[in-house]
Amino acid sequence: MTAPDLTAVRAAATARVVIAATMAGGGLALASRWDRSVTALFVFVGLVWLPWSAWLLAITGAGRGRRRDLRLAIYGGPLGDVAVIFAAQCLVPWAWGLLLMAAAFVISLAASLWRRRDAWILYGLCVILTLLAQSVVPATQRMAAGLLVVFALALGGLVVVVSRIASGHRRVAVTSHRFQQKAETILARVADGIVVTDGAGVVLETNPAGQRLIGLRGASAVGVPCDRALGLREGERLLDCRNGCPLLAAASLGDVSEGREVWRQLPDGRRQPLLASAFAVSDEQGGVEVVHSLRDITRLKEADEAKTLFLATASHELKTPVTVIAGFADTIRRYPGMPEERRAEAVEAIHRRALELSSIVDRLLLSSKIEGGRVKVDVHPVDLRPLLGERANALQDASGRHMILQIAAEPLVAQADPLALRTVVDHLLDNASKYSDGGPVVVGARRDRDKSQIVFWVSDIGIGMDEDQARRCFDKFWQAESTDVRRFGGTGIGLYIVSSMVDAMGGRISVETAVGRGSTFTVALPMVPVGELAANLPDEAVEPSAMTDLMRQFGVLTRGVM
Amino acid sequence: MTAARALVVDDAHDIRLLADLVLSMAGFKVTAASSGKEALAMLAGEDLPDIVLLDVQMPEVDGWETLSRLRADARTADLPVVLCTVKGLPEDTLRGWTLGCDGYLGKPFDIVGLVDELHGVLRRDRAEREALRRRRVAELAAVR
Repeated sequence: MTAPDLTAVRAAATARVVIAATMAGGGLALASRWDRSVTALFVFVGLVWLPWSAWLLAITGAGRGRRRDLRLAIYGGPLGDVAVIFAAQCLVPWAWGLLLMAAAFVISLAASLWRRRDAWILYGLCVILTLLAQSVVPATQRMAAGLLVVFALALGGLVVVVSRIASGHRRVAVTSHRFQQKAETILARVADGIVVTDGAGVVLETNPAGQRLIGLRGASAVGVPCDRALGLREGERLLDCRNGCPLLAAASLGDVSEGREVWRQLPDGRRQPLLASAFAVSDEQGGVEVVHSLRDITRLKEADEAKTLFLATASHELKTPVTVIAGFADTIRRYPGMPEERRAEAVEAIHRRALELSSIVDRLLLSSKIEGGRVKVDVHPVDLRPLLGERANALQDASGRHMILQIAAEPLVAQADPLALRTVVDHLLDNASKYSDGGPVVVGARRDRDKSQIVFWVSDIGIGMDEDQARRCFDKFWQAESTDVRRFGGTGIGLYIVSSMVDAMGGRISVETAVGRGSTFTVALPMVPVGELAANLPDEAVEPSAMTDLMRQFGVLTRGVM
Repeated sequence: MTAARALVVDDAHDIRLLADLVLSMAGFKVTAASSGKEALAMLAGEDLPDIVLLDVQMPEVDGWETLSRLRADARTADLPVVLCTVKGLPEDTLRGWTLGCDGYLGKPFDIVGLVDELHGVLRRDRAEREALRRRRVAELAAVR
């Protein structure tokens, strides 16, 4: 049901009630003047048509308008009218001219509100009833046959013309209704904030994203000046929209589509970068409204900054091994007579740094593969125990770092890709030993039967991270230290690779950490159910360690050691 | 002519080894420090080296900080310092010259270039080094 229908139905219902009331009231008041048949008509109108019309008006009244009631009013009105006309044709046939006009009016009304087929049915009914009335009235009061034919043809013409006009109107109404709904849905769903202001910069309306952006905690931004509601700044300059929107001025100079990078201060003091553009539309009164489109580009900016940082970090990380390799190689070339032990040192350094270089390049390639979605893992059952033990021992041998194993003495078979898992374990162990401040590194694993997971963790009692660092540590290119007093090298992609690999294997990674207390990285992988014998092994079958208590004391392991 | 004494400051063990090797071969008498903190401690006494080769990215006290402290101390204000770092952007170089370095060497460096740079700095007297610093700062500021 579209709005114009409702208006028309209400107008018709009101007119009908007025006419019926006038006829009933006036007619009965002057009843002594009329003969009996006229009085009978007025009684019929007063007793039948008036209540019927009043009821139809009531059910279409403002604030009501249920779909079924509206249908009833739309169809019931003209049907009642036709009944009254029929009664009048029987009772006061001499008023045929007036009655034909009334019939034409009712048919037009039906044709404008009803479906065309239904209008034709009503037309047929009206013609039949007219003929019926003609057959019951005295022959002297009948209309001429020719007149009846002309009447029928004219009425048919009305149905054709009016229903065509009405259906055209309805089509336009439906289209515009759909268009409006579509526009509203788009505005409601679009991620960009849309804020409409008047020419002086006072907010007129916003879409939900715009409201969220302005963030007045539920309060409406309508009526608030733009510079207070949004407070957009370009560089350090507050955009002043009192003398016309500056964004609009830029747009009219030709950069409509690109928008401008602006920012606004969030309540917590952070800067929120936005891509803003504006265009003008004229309102109903011919004034100007400015539509602002605001896109939050915080994540884009962060990614961009991370990439810049990554390029700088990666090139720094590559330069150090290259310096050593190139420098020593050149030294060996230039000074053939150098002492043997220094030569051996040089060759050793070249070899070590070449391996480092290769591992950095591998990481870069892997991260670019992950980014391109080209990493496929091939998961099948893998027992974590030998892998964790072997990698931990390898690191202990290589770095001299004390490793504490807390691996449950039961099969720990997870759905994993052995190579990806090894990368994950190596990165985590590497990180832990790098950041552990000389302290021990704990490697643990157990089954979590409740969740059907195999869980393993790597803990250090090193520098740890604050909340913000913990939140961002799996982001690509992120590094806890970005200044020149960095204690640790690295490209900032290790944990990104780790978390991507874990995700790809259908697992989850999390971190528990506190500044100065160390970090625990926990990985949960889908468990593979093992045989009855293995399942009956006790969960707490882990080698106790005096160090475990120490680690607990440091607050590193917030979970119980299984 | 007595051998010039160079202090090499770098947190990477093998870079210290490389600089030691190259400079020793070139006739320098080399001592080494693994951090800015250690270098400042070594330079706190009366016995100063003739030149310092200083890395920038180091834990705790980085090269910038080390250089600033050396320049702030009257005893070491004139001590020739050559920065040797992977940081090669114009703003890094400008920062180095503004803080008062006497040479700026990017990593990876050419070993002959390293020796030449140190010899070059040692040949210049105080006024010449000061003039070079001013020139570099002006050039780099113009680039920016």
